Amino acid sequence: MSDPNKDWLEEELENLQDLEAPKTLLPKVMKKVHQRAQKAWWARMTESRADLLRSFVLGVSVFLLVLFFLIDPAQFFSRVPGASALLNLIPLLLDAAKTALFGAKVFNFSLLGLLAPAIVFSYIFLVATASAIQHLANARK
Amino acid sequence: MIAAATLFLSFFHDREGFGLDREMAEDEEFEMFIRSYQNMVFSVSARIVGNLTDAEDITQEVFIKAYQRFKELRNSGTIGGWLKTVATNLSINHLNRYRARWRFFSEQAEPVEIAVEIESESDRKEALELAIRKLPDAQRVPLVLFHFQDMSYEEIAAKLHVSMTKVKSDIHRGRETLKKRLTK
Repeated sequence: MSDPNKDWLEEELENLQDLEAPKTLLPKVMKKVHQRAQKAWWARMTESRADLLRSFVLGVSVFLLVLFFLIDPAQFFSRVPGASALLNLIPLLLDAAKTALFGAKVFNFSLLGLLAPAIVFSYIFLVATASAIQHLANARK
Repeated sequence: MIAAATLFLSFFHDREGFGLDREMAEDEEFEMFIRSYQNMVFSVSARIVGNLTDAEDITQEVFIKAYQRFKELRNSGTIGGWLKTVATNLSINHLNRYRARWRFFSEQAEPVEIAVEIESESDRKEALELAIRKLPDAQRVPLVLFHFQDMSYEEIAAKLHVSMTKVKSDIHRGRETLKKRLTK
């Protein structure tokens, strides 16, 4: 006898059985399992611990960056003969680039003023296009 | 001397054979395990993500995770619950990834109308399944967790990081939408 407190939808939801899994599922899983078993232990570990590995690499990178500023490797290079010339060249190149970006004019606009929005817009455009393609592909499924 | 060498070699041959047999037996056991639970895992994923192709991918992922822990899982009495939890979490993660990318566009999308002619009991069940899959994510996910996973409002609110009032109203709205679509 059905429960009088339940409406027809609730009863129909309760009576729904499990959906049938696709026939392709089992062979696909077994294939992946066998492929995984054939991989070396370190490859398997990087697969299953991808997030942990990513965080570890990020941590090491930040540590190296901080170390870079603390140690200042330029001081070691400055003692190497000929290296000081290279170290002097880098600020010159940076200065030249800065002057070109801020000083050069195209139709009365600075080069930086034109390049920056172009870079930002092209980035947004690429992200939107990639998302649109993925959305369309998902909608077709 | 030759006899000893033969014995020695046969010992290793047997061990190798034994290893292969054991691997095959484990594979067979895992296949049986998939056969027993694949419909349940697939249903959980399909009803949460509302897309059969994505549900198949998620189901594969669930079983690969299960394979990694098969030794401890096969003797566990809570294997069904473990599979359901993993399938639910992976499905919700999948939706969150997708939704974050598509929030702007999808919230403006119109709901899709369903065209299924209901003639028999199985047609009706199929129509209900389809209607669930076509519900907006915000209504479908709490409704599925409530009706198919027997989760309480509090548990759903905690899982989806939303208020309990929102869970209740989303489930109510989902049920109303289903009723409207099925009585048309």
